[in-house]
Amino acid sequence: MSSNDKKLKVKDLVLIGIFTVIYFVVMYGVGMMGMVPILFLIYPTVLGIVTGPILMLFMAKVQKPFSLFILGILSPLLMFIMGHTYILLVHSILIMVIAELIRRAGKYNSFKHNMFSFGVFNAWICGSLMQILFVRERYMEMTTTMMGEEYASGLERLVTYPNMALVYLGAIVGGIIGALLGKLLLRKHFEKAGIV
Amino acid sequence: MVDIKNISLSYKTNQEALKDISFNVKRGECILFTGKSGSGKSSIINSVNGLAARYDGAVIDGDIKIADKDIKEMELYEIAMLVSSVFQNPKTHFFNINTTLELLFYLENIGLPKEEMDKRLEDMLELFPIQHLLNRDIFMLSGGEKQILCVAASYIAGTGIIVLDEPSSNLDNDNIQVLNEMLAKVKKKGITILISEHRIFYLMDIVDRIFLIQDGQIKNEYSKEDFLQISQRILNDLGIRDKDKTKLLVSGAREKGDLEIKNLEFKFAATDSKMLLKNLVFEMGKIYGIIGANGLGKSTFIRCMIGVERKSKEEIYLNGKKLSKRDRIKMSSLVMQDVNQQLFADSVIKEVSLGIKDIEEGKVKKVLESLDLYELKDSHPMSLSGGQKQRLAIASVILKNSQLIFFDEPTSGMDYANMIKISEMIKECKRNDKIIFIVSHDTEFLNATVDYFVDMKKVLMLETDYCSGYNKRSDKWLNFIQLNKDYVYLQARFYSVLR
Amino acid sequence: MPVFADNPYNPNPVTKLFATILFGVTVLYQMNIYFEWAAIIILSFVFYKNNLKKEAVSNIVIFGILCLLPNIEVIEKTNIVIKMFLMVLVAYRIFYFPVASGLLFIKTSDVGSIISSMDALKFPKEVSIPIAVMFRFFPSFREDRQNVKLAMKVRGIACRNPVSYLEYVTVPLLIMSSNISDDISKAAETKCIGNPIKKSRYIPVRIKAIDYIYAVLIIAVVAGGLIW
Repeated sequence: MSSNDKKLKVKDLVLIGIFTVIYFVVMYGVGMMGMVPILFLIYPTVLGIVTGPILMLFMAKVQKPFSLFILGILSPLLMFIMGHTYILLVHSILIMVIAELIRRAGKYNSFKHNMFSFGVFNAWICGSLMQILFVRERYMEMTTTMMGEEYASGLERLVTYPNMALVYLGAIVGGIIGALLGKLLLRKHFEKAGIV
Repeated sequence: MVDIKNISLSYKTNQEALKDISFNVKRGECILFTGKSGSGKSSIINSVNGLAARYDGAVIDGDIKIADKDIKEMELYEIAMLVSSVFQNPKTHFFNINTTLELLFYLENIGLPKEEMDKRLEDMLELFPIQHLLNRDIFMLSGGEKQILCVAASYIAGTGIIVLDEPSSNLDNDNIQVLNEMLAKVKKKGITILISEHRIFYLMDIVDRIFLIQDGQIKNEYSKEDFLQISQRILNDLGIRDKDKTKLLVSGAREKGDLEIKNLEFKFAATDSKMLLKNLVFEMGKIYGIIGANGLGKSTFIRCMIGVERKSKEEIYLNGKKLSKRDRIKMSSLVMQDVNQQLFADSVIKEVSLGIKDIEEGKVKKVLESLDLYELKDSHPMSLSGGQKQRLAIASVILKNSQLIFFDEPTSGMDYANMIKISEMIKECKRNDKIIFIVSHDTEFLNATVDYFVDMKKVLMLETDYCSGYNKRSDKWLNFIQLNKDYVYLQARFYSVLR
Repeated sequence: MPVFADNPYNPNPVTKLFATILFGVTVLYQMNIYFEWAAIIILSFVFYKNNLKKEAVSNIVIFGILCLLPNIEVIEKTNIVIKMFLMVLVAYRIFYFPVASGLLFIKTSDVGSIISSMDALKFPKEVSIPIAVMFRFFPSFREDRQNVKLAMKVRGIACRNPVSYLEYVTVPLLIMSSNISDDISKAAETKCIGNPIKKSRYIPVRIKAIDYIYAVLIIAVVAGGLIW
C-alpha cells in the first residue's frame, strides 16, 4: 500500500536518531571554528562539505516525508536546550520546511533535488549568527569596551546584513559541494556495500 | 502452542533459506534447532517472532500459527505480545540506558500500571537474583550481564513463548552457566522455549526435542536421549559443537621466552583500579591463548601490549632490547572482535594491501586464493558475509607479516566447521619469528589451536581503593575478584592445567 | 548525564527546560546586574544541592571573570588575531544564562525522566523515539569511533592526508551505524514499541516543591532584571 509506505516506521525513526547523533557530533567538532570571527563566516561552508556524505546516505536510506525535517530540527532543538535562543529554533524550522519541500518536489529519490535540499538544509547554522545580529548593539558595546574602538568598528563593518547574505550563499554552496562528495562516497562505498 | 506448516522462506537474494518445513511445539516444551551456519535455524526463529518477514525482507509461504493465531498478517507488536526474543549480540540489541528501564520497557509499551510493573519486577527478582544489575548504566555491564538482563526482560514480559537466537555466542563459560540456570527456571514456569544454537552443551539438561536442520530442511528430529547417543564426531560434521562441556587441555606457558613483559600498568578510568602485570614471558614461534572471564581486561591487556594505549606504562623487552610503544605498533597486527571496525577500503584487493609498503602483486594473489577470496577481489569488503570478512582480516594480517599477531575473540558465534577453518588458518601463520596471541573463551577452539595459555585471573594484580561490592563512584560491581583496601597481589605464576 | 537521579532538590526536566527558555530572553535584553547575580546564586545553589560542587563554584567564578572582562585593559592592547579568539568570551557573556541553565539540565536530568517528560508533554512518537535513540546511540558511537581509530593506528594508515583520513574514519563508522540501527529497531519492536496505545512510564514525572520554588524564583529574577 503506497500510503503505508510513506509513513515513518520505527525503523526510520531509529535511523533518524542515529544520524542526528552522527551529525551533531561532527557539527560540534567542526564547530570549534565557529567561535572565531573571521572563521565563523566560512564555518557554514565547511560544515556543509563535511556533513554532506552523512546526509546523502541518510536521504538515500530514508526516502519518506518529514524524515529530513525531523532530523533537521533535532540538532537546533538540542542547541536550544543547551542555551541558544528561540531565534535559532524558529529560523531552523523555516529552513527545514523549505528543505523538506524541495525534497518532496523530487519525490524523495532525485539526487538533484536532494542536493539542493541539503544546500538549504545546511543554512540552518547561519541561525546562530543571526542571533548575534539580533543582539548587535549589546555585542558591539561589550566589544568596544573590551577590545577597543578600532577593533569594534572593524567588526561592525564585517557583521552586517549584506555580509550575512554572503554567508548564507556560502552555506548553500558548501552544502552542494558536500552533497556531491556524498554522492561520490555513496557510489564508491555505500552502494557497493549494500547498505542503501 | 506453535504450529508451523509447510513454510518456505527466501530472502531477497533469491536463495531459499527454508524449504517446506513443518513442526509443532507443545506448550512448555523446550525445542533446540541446531545445524551448520546458514542451515536455516536462525530463519526459523526469525519466522516465529516475525522479524524475518518485516526486517530481513524475507518472503514466506505457508502457515505460521502461534497460540492458534495466524501471525502472517499481524503487526510486529502484536506478535511481540505472544513471543519474546533474545538475540545473539546483547551489545547492540537494547534500547534503553537505564537497566531497570530496559527490563520494564516491554511493560511500559503495553501500558501496564506502575504497581503491576513493581509486582512483576519483584516476581522476577525472586526467580533471578539480579538486584545488582538494577538501576545501572547498561553500558557498564559486561556482555554476559547484558544477556542475563535480556533473558530476564523476556521473562518479565510475560509472554508464553520465548525464542532465542544463539544466545551463548558472545558469552564466556561462567555466564553460559548462568544462562543455563535461567533457562531451566523459565522452563519450570511452563514457558515454551525455542532456541537456535550450535553450542549445545549447556542445553542438554533442558531440551525436550532437538531438530537437526540442514540446507533449509529438517533433516531429523530427536528426543533428548536419542540425541545424546550420537557420537561427537558425527555432531561435529554436522556443524555442532561439543555436547559436553569441554575442558581446556592445553598447558600453561613456560617460564622462558624471548618476549618479556617486565612490567605493565594500566589505570582503568571507570573503576579507579589499576591493572598490573609483572614478569610474563613468551616464546617466539608459539601461539598463546589468553583466557579469563569477560570484563577482566583481556582486550585492554592486548591493547597495552600492542602499544596503542596512551595511558599505560609498559616495559616490554624482545631479546633483551626494550620496545617502545611505537616499535610495538609497527610490529603488531590485530584482528578485532568486530571485524567491521577494521575494514576501510572499497575493494577486497585494496583492503589487504592497505598500510603495507612495497607489496608484490603476486603475493597478494596467492594469499587471496588460499583463502577463497580471489574471485571477490573487486567486491566491497562490507558486502561480504561474516565468515568472508574474517578471512579477509586474516589475509591482511598474513600480508602485513608482523612479528606479533593478536586475535580478539575470532570465533564468536561460529559453528564447528568454521571454527576449525579459522583454527587452521591461524596455525598456518605460525612462524619461528612470530608470536601469536589469541584472546578467546572458546575452549574447543583453544584446544585445537594454541600451544599454551595465560589465565588473566591468575596473572593480574589489581590495586584498588575500594572494597568489594558496589562501587558507587564508578557504578560498577567489582565482583570478579575479592578486593581489599591494599594491593591484592596474585602471584604471577604459570601453571599446568589438569589433563 | 546520570542514569537515575532522584534528589529532592532536583527540579523535573520540564521545569529546567522552562527555565532555560526563560533565560533565553536575557540574551536579547540586558538584565539588571543585581538580578543577574541573584540568578547566579540560585543556579549555584541548585548545582550544589545536586552534588555538583565543582559546577556550583565554577558558575560563580566564570561569571565573575566575564563581568570583569571589559575592565581588563591588557586585552585592548593585544594583537588582532588574539582578539578574534577572545571574541568567544563576548559571546559567552551574552549567552551565559541560557548556557548555564542548559548545563544544569544536562547534568542533572536522567534519561528516564526526560523520556517520561516527553510523554507528559505529549511529544509525538516521531520526535520522542529519535530522541530516545540518540541517548542510546551516543555512547556506543563514541566507543565505535575509538575502536576504528585504534584499528587505523595498528594498520598504520593514520595521518597520511586529511581527505583520505576522513574517508577511512567516516566510511566504516557510517556503515556500522547503519547496521546497528536495524539491531536497535529489532530490540525495540520485539518489545512492542509499535503498540499504538498510550504507554505508561515507570519513572514518573513528579512535580515537587522544588519545581514550584525554582520556577517562581527564575520568573521573578528574569522579570525583575528586565524591568529594573
